[in-house]
Amino acid sequence: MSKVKIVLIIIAALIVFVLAIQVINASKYKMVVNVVEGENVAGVNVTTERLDFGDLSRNNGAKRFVSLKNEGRISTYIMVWKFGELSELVNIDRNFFTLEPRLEEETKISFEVNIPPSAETRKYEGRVWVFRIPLLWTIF
Amino acid sequence: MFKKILIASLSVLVVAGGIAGLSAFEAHVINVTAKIENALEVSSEEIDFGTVFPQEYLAEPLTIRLSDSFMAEERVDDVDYIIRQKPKCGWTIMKGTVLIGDTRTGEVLIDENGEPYVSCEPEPQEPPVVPAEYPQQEVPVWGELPSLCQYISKTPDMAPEPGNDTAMPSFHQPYKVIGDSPNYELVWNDTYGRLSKLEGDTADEWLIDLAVPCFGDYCAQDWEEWVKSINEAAEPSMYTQPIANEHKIFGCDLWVEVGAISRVVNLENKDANWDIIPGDGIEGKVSYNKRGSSFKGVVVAQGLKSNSQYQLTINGPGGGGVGVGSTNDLIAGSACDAGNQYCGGWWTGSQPIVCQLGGSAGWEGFYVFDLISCSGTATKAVTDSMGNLYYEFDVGLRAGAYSGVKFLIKESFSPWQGVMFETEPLDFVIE
Repeated sequence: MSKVKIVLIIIAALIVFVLAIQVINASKYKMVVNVVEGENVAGVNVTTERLDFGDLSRNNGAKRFVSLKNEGRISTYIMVWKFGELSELVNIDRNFFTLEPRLEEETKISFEVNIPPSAETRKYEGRVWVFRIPLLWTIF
Repeated sequence: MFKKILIASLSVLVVAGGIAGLSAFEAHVINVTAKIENALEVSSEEIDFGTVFPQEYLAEPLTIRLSDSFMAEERVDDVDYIIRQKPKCGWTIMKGTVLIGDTRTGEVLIDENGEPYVSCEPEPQEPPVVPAEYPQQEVPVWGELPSLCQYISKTPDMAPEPGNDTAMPSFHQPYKVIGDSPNYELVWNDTYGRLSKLEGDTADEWLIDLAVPCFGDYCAQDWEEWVKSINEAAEPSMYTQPIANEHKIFGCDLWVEVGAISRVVNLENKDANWDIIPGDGIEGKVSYNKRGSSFKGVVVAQGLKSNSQYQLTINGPGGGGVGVGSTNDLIAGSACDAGNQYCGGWWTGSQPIVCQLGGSAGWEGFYVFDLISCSGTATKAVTDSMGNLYYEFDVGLRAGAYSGVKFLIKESFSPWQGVMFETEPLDFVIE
């Protein structure tokens, strides 16, 4: 095996290694909304185990929030991934930004779902991963 | 071959261990926390009142209820929410008389003179296409729509009697600025609602009414009388609209914002071994807010003596800390703040000690919080003729984090026998 090949394999392995760590350390949440019949109906649920938007009739919307705080010494890059059926209906107000360390206030990301008139009356589910990638060079 | 398998296995082990180790290290060192907030904002469907005329009065329904998933959760009971009116921004053509495209909620800001203003920034990048039925030379204008908020009322359903939601009549200001320069603060004129499984109130049917204003000098003679009939406190001259706004599209965004949430803990009769006595019919629930400025909630119980008083007591964790700021210390101190006779203090395991600074190891802070007076034993919690108890409490406690709290229902006479106890400890934060 040539030296170049070995170096490439090591680099690829390192990339996989780093990606695996980021996936493991990402905050992972389930999202759910239950579309119900009727007009102007909003059934609420504010438990914190998942991003539950409750029961919503068509044309209604709801927002839930994830708060972030960096209590370490390193700036952290925040990246939010959403996937699944519900993700198409969910808008995120902040994504791909740097979270500075030791800010007194928490940074909030809002997840807003809007139920279109064409939605079926059933449960829609999706998932959100919030990656927190350390910008190691900011420690110096 | 064996050597290769061994090397491969070791490599996998090292990589997996490395990933796990580095993950833990990164999670520890980076220290960025992410958590879901127990808050929710709901924007209602467009309530289109259509073309209206001055001094018309129209109504549309709005239902706020506990969701199916919340109803299925046994450990939570109720939510408190507000209905807030916010300015609306949108694209208009034909001098503001036609609304096209998407709308957005405006942000209320305060200028350096303490005057509130509405910001619709940032403007959406792409204006909508002018519909074919309108002149194509029209240029969509982005901005705040004339406000409808002050003309919208919120009428609650008054269920369960006598009602646990507040009302907001038309002709009110949706917000105001308080404070002095430079510490101005925006205060919203919110409407408050409450939903609770224990209280049998799982849905609120609101009526959203619109009282249409008049324009310029073209108000009917009975305008003032009409405004006063809807909201006696309103000053009618404040609610006429300039003639320039006639025929324009007005708007207001209604936001339902849910904040407080409460947790439910079962109450049961227990034997000397602290095991639940099943099937004795003595049982209940306590629902309480996880966070707030006071310890607030509801006790519902059955199987008690009829028409009898019961003492409701919280105790700190047995064997828990007794130092300053501990749950035991906070409870004992709060009881001491309320009085120094029977309200509470420290329970040594054999006798109460009232209002002593600091406890000893093994003691529990305790607080009998439903006494009518701390110099007597009479209580506010009284059962009905069937032995059922329903009692709403709102107890001032010292600020701090309370964990491992016991909840007891006791007889109100010596030896103050406990008849019902929590099945799991209570945890809450007093701000």
